[in-house]
Amino acid sequence: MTGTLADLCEELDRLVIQALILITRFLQSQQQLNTLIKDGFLNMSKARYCMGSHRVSILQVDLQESVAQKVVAYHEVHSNNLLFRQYELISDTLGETEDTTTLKSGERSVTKVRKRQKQEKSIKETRITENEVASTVPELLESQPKSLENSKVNRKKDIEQDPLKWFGVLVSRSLQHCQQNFQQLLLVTVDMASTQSELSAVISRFRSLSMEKIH
Amino acid sequence: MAVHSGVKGKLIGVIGDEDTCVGFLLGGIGEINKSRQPNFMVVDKNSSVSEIEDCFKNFVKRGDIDIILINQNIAEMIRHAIDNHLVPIPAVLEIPSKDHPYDPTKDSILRRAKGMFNVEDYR
Repeated sequence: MTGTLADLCEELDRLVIQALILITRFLQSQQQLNTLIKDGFLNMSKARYCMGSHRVSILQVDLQESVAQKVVAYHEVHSNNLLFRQYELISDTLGETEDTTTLKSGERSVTKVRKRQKQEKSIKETRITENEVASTVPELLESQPKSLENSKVNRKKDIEQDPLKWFGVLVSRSLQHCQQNFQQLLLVTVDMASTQSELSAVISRFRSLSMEKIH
Repeated sequence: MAVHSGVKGKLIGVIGDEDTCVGFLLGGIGEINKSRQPNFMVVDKNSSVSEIEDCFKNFVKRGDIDIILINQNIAEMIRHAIDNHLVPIPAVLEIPSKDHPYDPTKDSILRRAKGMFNVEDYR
């Protein structure tokens, strides 16, 4: 992209403004990160006070044959002659994209209740059709123990995969808050990594164009 | 913008003090790969600078880590290695620790951004 000097200067101005916007966004995220990490450490200290200092340490961490629940994926964005990476936090066990709204415990419980109501409804519907009772009863008898077994297996998996269980079955509320703080922190971190990638691309482009302008 | 669900995610690596590592592992990022290498390093008073640097270089070399989180006070110990890391992957983010608050003037990316406005760099 070699145009006139005026075009070059205009492009440089645009990059400077973009860099300033990105630096502001980065510092805002950093401030958010500071608050969350402070809360996380405070809750961890409270948990240590409640459970004993030896109960919340790195020695309790058991990562044998376990996979990371939170992983990152990226896609490359190409805009305005800039190539940068946009990171996104994904939950590896569920294969779903994490969002800030999914971290709210209230919404989680709502989705669980909805699922249970749907199951109840489907069971009621099968009961109502009296003509098909003879055929459905054996199927229901067969399917219910299977579903119970499946739910037990899923619950067992959940228990095994929940890092909170490293620290005991009945952990303090503070440790649960600490986990929530660090989960939110991961979202902020991933957002910051995206901003950093874009900022890095802007700096590189600015430097190359500045050199072009000088020579 | 959502990433395609078929994309296999990569890990977040952590180099930090015990509390930072415990916190992030509690968040669900911990994993030990097939070569029995964890994606975190707990730095204590007995950890040497060479150990930290080796761990950082190992994380950079590993293909399964996309983001490295490092406490800023530990990053200061291996500043030369972090400043030499110019490739975008893995992204290196400096975070505060329990004892050391975040200082924007020490952050490598912000120092690079500051260099944009430094005339001396172009002479």
